[in-house]
Amino acid sequence: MILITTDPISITTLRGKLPIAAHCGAAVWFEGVVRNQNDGHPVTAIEYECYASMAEAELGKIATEAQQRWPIDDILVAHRYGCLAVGEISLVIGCSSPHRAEAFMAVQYIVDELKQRVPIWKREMG
Amino acid sequence: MKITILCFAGVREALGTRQLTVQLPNNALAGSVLRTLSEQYPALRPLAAYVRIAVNNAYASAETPLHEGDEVALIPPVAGG
Repeated sequence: MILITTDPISITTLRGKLPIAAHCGAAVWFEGVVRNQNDGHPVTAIEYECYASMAEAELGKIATEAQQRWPIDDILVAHRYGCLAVGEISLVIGCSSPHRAEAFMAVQYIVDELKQRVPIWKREMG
Repeated sequence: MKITILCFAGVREALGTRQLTVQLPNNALAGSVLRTLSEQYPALRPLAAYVRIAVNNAYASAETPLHEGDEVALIPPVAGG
């Protein structure tokens, strides 16, 4: 499941949306949070701009690549855009799989690829 | 043909608009978009080397053919997550 939204997101609100099949022994989750500094400068908020239709398409491709690379089951990626304050959550990734090693690697891969490819931009405010 | 181009982030700021239209020959390729826009918009020139082209929600190569009605976007270096 890929979700691009201006609404608040969190593992708490999204965990029911990741299927965890009975043969899965692991569900790995990641939250990306707005932090209060960047490059030595204080940050109070981040403005995220998004080309939503392409962000959704590109994240879908990245999720499919992860499923082809590792024996994992389901993936959920949610990215929020708009103005987010320090402490708010910009990104949630969830991955279910029979074993934990593959789920950790898939989540890492998805974050790394997202940062290289997905058409979302941020502007720190402070 | 007339092509609509979506502008984001640094490109949007440099050109002062979220979208613009250009006239391109009917058999134009994606690679011609930045060339044509750089001629018309000097503010784009310092960014052009770093901008990728997307056609219909997917990254394009210079050889990707363009068609009337395609959604084309200028994608400056991304920074999500």
